[in-house]
Order: sequence, then C-alpha cells, then structure tokens
Amino acid sequence: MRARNRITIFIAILFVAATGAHAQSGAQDQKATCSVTGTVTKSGKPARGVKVVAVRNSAYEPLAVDLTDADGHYHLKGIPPGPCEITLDAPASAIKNQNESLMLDEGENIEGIDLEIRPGGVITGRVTEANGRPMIDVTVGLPPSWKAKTDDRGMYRAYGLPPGRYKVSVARNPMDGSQVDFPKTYYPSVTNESKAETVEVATGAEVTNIDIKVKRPSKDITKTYAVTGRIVNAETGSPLPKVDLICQEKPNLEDNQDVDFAELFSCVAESDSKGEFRMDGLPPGKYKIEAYTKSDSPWYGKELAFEISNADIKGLEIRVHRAGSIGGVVVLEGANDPATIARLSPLRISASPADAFTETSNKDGSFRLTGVKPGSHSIRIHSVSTSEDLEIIGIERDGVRLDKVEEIVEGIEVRDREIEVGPGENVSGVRVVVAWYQGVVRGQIKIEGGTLPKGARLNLWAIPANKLKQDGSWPYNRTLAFLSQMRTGSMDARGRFVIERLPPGEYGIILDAYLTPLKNDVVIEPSLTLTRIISLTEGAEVEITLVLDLSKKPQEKQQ
Amino acid sequence: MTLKLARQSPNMLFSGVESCRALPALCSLLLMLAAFIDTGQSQVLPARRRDASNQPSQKRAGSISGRVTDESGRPFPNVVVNVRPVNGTIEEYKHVGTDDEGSFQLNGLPSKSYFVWCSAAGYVEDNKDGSSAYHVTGDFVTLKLRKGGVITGAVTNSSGEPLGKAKVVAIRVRDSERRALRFTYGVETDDRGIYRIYGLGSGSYLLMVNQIGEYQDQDLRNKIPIYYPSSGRDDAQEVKLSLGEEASGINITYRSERGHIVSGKCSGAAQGGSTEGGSLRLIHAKSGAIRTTSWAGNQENPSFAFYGVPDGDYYLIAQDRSWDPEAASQPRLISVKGTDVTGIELKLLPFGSIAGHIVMEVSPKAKRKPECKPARKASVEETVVKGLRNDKAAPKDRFALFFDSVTSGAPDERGDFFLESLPPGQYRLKMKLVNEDLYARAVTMPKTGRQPGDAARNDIALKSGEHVKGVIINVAEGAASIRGRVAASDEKAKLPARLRAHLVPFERENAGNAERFAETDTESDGAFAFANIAPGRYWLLVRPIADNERQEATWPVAWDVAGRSALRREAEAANIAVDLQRCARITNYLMRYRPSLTVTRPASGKTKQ
Repeated sequence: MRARNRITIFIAILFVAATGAHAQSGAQDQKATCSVTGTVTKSGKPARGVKVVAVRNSAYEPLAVDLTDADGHYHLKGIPPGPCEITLDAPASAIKNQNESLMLDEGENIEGIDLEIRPGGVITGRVTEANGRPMIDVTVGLPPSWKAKTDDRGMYRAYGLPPGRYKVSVARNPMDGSQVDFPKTYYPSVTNESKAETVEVATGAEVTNIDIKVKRPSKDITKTYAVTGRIVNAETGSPLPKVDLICQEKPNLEDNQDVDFAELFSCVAESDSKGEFRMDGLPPGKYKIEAYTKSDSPWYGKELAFEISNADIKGLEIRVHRAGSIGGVVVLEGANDPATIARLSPLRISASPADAFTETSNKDGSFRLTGVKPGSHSIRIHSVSTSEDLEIIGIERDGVRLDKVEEIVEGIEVRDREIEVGPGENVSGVRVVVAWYQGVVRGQIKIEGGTLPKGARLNLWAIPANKLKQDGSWPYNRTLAFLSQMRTGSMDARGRFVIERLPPGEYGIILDAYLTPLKNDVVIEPSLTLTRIISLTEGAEVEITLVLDLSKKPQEKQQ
Repeated sequence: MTLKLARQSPNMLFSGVESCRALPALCSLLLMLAAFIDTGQSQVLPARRRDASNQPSQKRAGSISGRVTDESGRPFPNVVVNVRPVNGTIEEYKHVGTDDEGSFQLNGLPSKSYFVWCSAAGYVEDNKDGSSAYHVTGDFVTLKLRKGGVITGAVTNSSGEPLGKAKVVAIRVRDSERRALRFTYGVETDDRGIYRIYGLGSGSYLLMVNQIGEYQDQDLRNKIPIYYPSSGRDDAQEVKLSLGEEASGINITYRSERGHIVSGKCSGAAQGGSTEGGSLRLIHAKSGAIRTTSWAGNQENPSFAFYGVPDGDYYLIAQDRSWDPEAASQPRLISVKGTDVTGIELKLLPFGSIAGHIVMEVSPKAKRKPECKPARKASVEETVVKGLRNDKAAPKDRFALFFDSVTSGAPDERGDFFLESLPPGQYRLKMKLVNEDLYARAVTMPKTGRQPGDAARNDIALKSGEHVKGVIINVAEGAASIRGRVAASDEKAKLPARLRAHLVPFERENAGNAERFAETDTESDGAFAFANIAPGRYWLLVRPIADNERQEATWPVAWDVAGRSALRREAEAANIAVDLQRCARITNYLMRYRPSLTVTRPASGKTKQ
C-alpha cells in the first residue's frame, strides 16, 4: 500500500491544516482580541510595503496581516489570545524563518516587536552524473535546514541563506520512487563526509559553481543469481514434480526506514519432473521461500530463509507435506429447483486463507476444494452468472453444525463459520446451506406531519416476529444488528422500498428514522421507529404502506 | 482494481489553486509529484477496494525486460521503470532502475496485463510509434524518453521589480494533437523572480500566477490569478511548446485585481460524507483553465468556495472523492458577471459500475491445426476490459469535460472483472486480447432486468447509481487477422491525411451484429492492421476521417443502426471481400483508395501461418 498511503497522507495533512486554519479564523470573536505593533527595517532603514503576519502553529492562513507603512510600521489587529508568531512574509532574497514567538493574554496590546530584513546569501551550482547528464529533481541539502532542488539542467539555487559555512551534498530521498538510488555525495564530488569542503557565504553574497558530480557504482542487470534446489515429500523423501514455490525478498527492517515494497523482489517457480526447481534473476539480498499451496499444487511446508551475497544458491531442499481438502455439497434452501440453480450457476465456492476455489457440480451441488493448508478456513459462495455472494445460513459436517454459535449477545447469534482442516486431512461430508428464498416485501413509505430534514436517514429491517419483544418493539442492540448484517431493505428517493429473499414466516417490518445526521457512522437510537407485522408464504410478494408521522414525539412508537 | 487515473488526471487534485494557497510548500511537492505522474504515465496509483481474498495467481510467473533510450537512441541508465498490473493491488506495483546499458528486467511477474512506463524527471515518454500500452510477461519493451519542454521567465510587479515566492502554474490546455487536456504543473519563483517549469509535454499552455508570498489573507484570497502576459483569463495568451523546446522570456507582470466568489453547498454525498473528503473542479469554458478546491472528510453537506474568480463562463462539478468518485454532481454551467455567485446547490448523484465474468473457451488439450497453435499460453488475467462511454450520446450532461471516456480493468484469475466509478451514460465493452488467436465471441448481458437500446448490440444504458452485474464475455480461439496498406489509386493521386479502415460482415445474418464490425485508423503510410477478428467473410472499406474528428474514435460508427447500414451500403458498392478463415493471418494486403469508391487489387494477399 506504499505509494497510495504516502499520497493519502499528504492529502490528509493538507485537509487537516486547511480546516485547522479555518477553525482558527472562525473562533476569533469569542474573546477580546489582541494587537501587536512594531517596525520593520532593512539595512537600518525603515522598509515599506512588507507583509507582516501573525500565525499560529505555522499555519499558512494567518490570524492577522498588515503591510508596513512608509516608516516601516505595522499594526496587527484582531489577534485571538494565545500563542502566536509574528513573522515577515519577506522577499525571497531575505533570510528565511525570522519570527518572534509571543503568548498573548486576553485584550493585550504589545508594542515594539521590531523585525529586520536581512539580505540572504546564495549558493548555486550544477549536479551531474559522472557521464555529464544533469541530475534532475534531486535535493541538495545545506544543513542545518536549507534545501534546494535541481532543475532540468541540473542547476540548483539555494537562497535566503544566513551568512556562514555550508556543507553542500546531494542524496536520494528514500521515499522518492522516481529516482534510482545513488550514493550521498558532498561538494566537491566526494562520498566520504570527512573529505567534504565547506562553502562560506558572506551576508547577502552569492557563491557560484558549487558543482557536484555523482558517481554511481556500475550496475549490470545481468549480475543476478540463481537459486536451485529440490522439493521432496517430507513423509517419503521422494522428489515431487509440479509443486509451486514462492520466494520473496525480506525487507530490511533494522534501520527503521520506510520499506519500499515495490523494490522488493519476488519470484515463483514450479518443480520439474525430477522435483527440481530453479529461480533466476535474484539480486543479492535476504529471501524466504516456501511452497505456494493451492488447488493445482496441493503441498505445504515450512518457510525457508536464505541469503544471496555474490554466488548462486544451490541444493536447497524444501520438504513439503500433502495439503488437505474440503468436500461436500452446497444446498440452496428455499428454492432448490433446477431452474433457480441454472440461473445462479455456476456457483463458485472458495476458502480463505487457503487460496482454493472450485465450481460446484450443476447436477447435485457437490464440490471438493483441494490444496487446503492446515488451519481454519472460511467459506464463501459466489454466483458467477449474477456476480453476487450468496448468504450462507449454515454449515454442517456429517450432520453436525460447524457454524456453532459462539455467543448470543442481546439476542443476536454470533456464528463462527470456519472449517478446521488438520494436516493433510481430507474433510468430507460438508453441507453448506445457502439461503435462496423468494419472499418479497415491497411498498411505499409516506411522510406525514412535516418533511424529512436534510441529512435524515431511514433504515428498514425485516426481523422474524418471534424475535420481537412482547410489545412488538425492536429487540436488539442496533450496533450489533448492523454488524451482523441482518436483513435490511433498500429504498429509493421516493420512498419505494423492497426487501428480498425472505424465507416464509411472520416478520416485523421495522422502519427506523434518524432525523439528525449520524456523526462518524456511530449508530445511535433512532428518533422515530415504526413496526408493522406481516405474514409471508413461500415465494409470495407482500405490498405495504408505512406512514411515518413526523409530528409525533421522538421515541414514540407508531403503528 | 481499475487503475483509473487514466480517465481522470491525477493532476486535477494537485492543480488546486485554493488548496495550494493553504499550504504552498506541500503543494509544490504535490505539484512536483503531479508532474512526475504525468511525465511518466497517468497510471501510477492503484484503485481502491480490492477483494482481499483474490490472491494473485502466481503460477506462470515470468519477466518483462527491455531497454530505455534517449532521444538520440543512446541507452538511458539509472531511470526508474515501473510495472503495474491493470488488475492489481499496490503490492503488485514494482519498479527497477535501468543499468549502464539502459536495460531493465522485472522478474517474478504473474501472468497478467501490465502497464509499463518509465519516470525520469524532466523527460517525457515518447510512445508515438504506437507501442501497445499493455504488456504481458515475456515482452521486451523499448521505452524512449525525450526531453520535455521548458517554460521559463520572470514575474515582476508593474514597476518591473522581481517578485520572488510567486506561485506560477502552467496549465496544458491542449496537447499537440489538439485534444483538450487539463494537466497543471506548478513552481515558485526564486529570489530573482525567475521561474522554470520543465518536463512538459508538447501542446499549448496557459501560465498563471495565483499567489505571491507564503501567507494568504482574506484580502489576497479574493484576488484573481493573473495570466501571461498580464491579464485576467479572457486575454490570456497561450504558449505553444514542442518536446525538447525551451520557451524563454515568458514574463508575467503581476497586478492585483479583485475577483468574485463562487460558492455553495453540496448534498447527496455518502452517508456522513466520505472519510477522504471530496473535491470540486471549476473549468473556464473558453480557455479550459481549471481550478480545484476540496472539502475535508466526514461532512454531510459540505460547503465550498472559489475565491478570486474573474468574469466568465465556467463548468463546475463536485465529486465525493478526487480519485475514483462514487458520486458526482451533474456538471453545471456557471456565469460570473460582475458579482459573486453564491448559494449554488450541487447534488451528488451516485456513479455506477459494471461487473462480469470472462469465459475463456480455450482448452489446453484440444488438438489444433498447426496454423491454429498459439505462440504462447494465454491467461485470463492478461485480458483487459475497457468500458467506453458514448460521450456524443449525451453531450448535455458534460461529464466528458471532466472524466475520460475509457475505463479499463482486468479480470482476476477467476475471470471476474469490475469497472467502477462510471458516470451515467451509454457504455460498451471492448476487449484487449493478448494472443492473436483469441477473439471475443459473444458478450451476453445479464439475464434479467436489462433492455439494450439496440437489440443488435450489447451496449449498456447505465443509470445513475446502477450496478450492472453478470455480464458474460466469451473469448474463443481461432481468431483471424489481416494486415496491409492503403495506397492511392494511382501514382499521382494523394491519400487523404487521415483514413479509417472498416471490416463489415459479409453475411446478411451478421449485418446487425455490431460486435462483428471492426474499425482502425491507418498509420501515416496507410498501413492498417485488424487482429482478434472472429472468423468469417468480411468486406473491407476505407473512409477518410473528418478533420474535426478525434483520432481513434471511442464509439465506432457501427455501434449505431444508421452507421451500420451506411457502412454496409458503401461496402457493398466498393465490393472488396476478404475471407478471414479460422486462424487466417493475411499480411501485405494492398488496397487502392478512391475517394467515393474503393477498389482493390490483392497484390500478394496470401495466407501465412
């Protein structure tokens, strides 16, 4: 997720900073504000027309702004009390980052905060590769805190520098995926810091031709190495053909740097008829290798580590065990007729974290998932023709329910849907029951006694009537209901709604109205709730109208 | 995971004027990044929401290798070459540096379709030679880098004093093919008031200064950006630039001028607002210059404001996310004339998606005739599905101004594909198949609930917020191909500058089947190629391309009833029939072009393996 994350972080910062700044300017009128005055000079004379700002937390939207008059005076008004910095939005040629930190009490007026524009020094030069090609968009560092960037000619210009001595260098930012790494190089073109020369800049002076040539180690993509070895059956010791292997470079996490996963090497291979495998093109580094367990390579084993320094790795032996499988049948409860099955077919069953999937038999719904590592795996059923996941309502093994109820929280069953597979175990007799009922409740929501406020939200539920409280009211904690994905309806802007795939039975159709917007997706109690009991026979469609009366008091039940 | 930056410039996010005023330093970083993304290829970032259980199929891994050269053909060492599967996660994005010979090799890549591009600051990739945008393992990819254009100049005030810390933005309003583009690049002037923007693609640029100094204030916020040479937007001059060229002396005289506020509110975004926040784009109708602003996440009805907007007509859109929006407002025309435009209400309507499944009707064990043996094994993940939106069908909705009309995605190893963030409109699906022996045999719409507008074609009239599922695409073996050249009718005659070749089904029963038609633009020397064609008998027809028409029409003429019958009429009259049998590979087909009537003399049209 690297690159994406980086960018998201930038954007996030941007937003936070922007809103932060707005929030500050909005809070100004709460308390008596403060003012700051002073004079700005340049070479001992008053400086006119210079922008002076009061900022907080280095935000770019200032709390107050003023331009100096002919005498160099400024007067910043309306600053909210609290910490602030008085700084110059000085010309680029001036020394950067001069500011005065102040802690302002309510209504305080501070005078005599004088600032000076001091001419900054300049260092320029050119950064090139050893072959003379300019190095573009590389960062030139001038510690402690100055930086410049090279342009398309390799030229850089660091300005606004306080007088002093600078050690100039170029290095690649490890986060910058657009640059190939190169050794950190100091002026005058040395990589050894002790040989670096410092550059002296007098007040307002310009030092030119501080050029740096970067010499990279010679690189040849053909200087990679091969890993060879053999895959053997751990039980019998005999070599195994057609086993998939995956090899991945291990990130070096020691120096606590950001890992660029895109630079890490990964490779796959398959063993040949003699059980031997070969991976080519591996650059030097630390690796891990293991069997890649899946349907067409049903083997698993321990992961093996190796390191390549300057030679091929030979004779790795990877011992593997046969992986297990899960077999059984998928049953559609509610409509197990051939027409429905044909419409949903092919049905695909998959198990994860095992990377196993297969299509069920059209005839009897049977399946066998092969290449399943030991461990617990959850099952998913997907209709390929309709591109939807089907709801699993039960998993049995040899007639025993596997999806045991782990706990019942406020009436809601929390089920564990995993199938446990032992080392090499071939699990059979699994029965996966999928809900495919045809009952439909549709209808219209009518709003009376007002209109829905902006940001209001309606939720519709179908709850089996026997789960409702005695008085017909909502039985559950709503947060849990959301999490357990209970049956909800979908509705359009005109209030037409539909709840599909209901098994026959009695239901409470519950309409929850949230009249105030939800904050941060936290589920709260609805402002109004309304329950209607309906009875549904197999495959039937029931049409109802729900009238939501907004004039009634919040929390009042409506029938 | 459709890496969808292709349809929507990543730069729109960075091109912001309003947001950049908030944080200039960060913004210049973002703008650098934007420039980098654009000079590479506009597909660096992954899309969201991948089913975590879809592990990449690692079985038949291979490598993509190649070489990077500069404009003079010399090897380009130490540049970064990037690969990313069309259908993949960020974990599958990889990059490697070229060696001293400009060579690169990326190993361990699963069998999928990949974008391959290189990024070198200051350079742009030159893919004029039509190298395919998608690559598969085993490919040797030659990438050419050319030095980008440079625009440089000074920013001064009206008394000629240099202005340092001026934010200068270059907006590419058109590329050299005259296509409208809105990529922006931003920099800051140095202590001498000089700016230099480099690595620019060829085309026409507008230059604007939108802020001076580090800090903004309420007063400054409402000043209009000043365009090169020294004007509001309507008198802005464009700077034309070719690759490798330097436009110097592009000096901008900054003056302070008040503008207006365009503000309002958005509604209809996701419940509670998306956590990432959304964005708005304001495009100046005349020049195409763009400004963006954004709102922070978790707001139910976010309000927005553009400050310092000069008089003029603008198109405005709001979307719930900068990338891959799930909802956007209908683009609105806004006229600013002497006063602020406030109280605009933009209602975000959900975008849709199209999901489906590719069935490879390929049996590895089937016995094939020698001419039908594929050169390499094909994997379903190497297929690319493109959703093409017919922007001409709904010119009034103006979505084409803001979103690219092509969305690509690739199926996972199971053959399932998913195209998301689709504005409402008319869509068709097009396949990009790796192996020449494959063709899309049939596209079947979901069994229920869909009525195609034209029974003969499989287009999708996608409504706002509609999620079409269950499209089945059958890919079969035995495709034919024909390659050749269009030549003038005699030695003296000249060919029109731009031509388009069409294949029209010969059999009457296929006359209504839009999928059986094919079209392709010829190269400048008249060369054309049709591959992945369903076996059968066809007519070949060549037509000139109208001057005002874009290269590579996304919505082929055969996709309309009238277009099909016109093609058939003309093809019948021209009467050039070609028999494209199963696995036929016709090369060197010579076709004589006559303006109204086209007649052929099959020179060496023979079947090769």
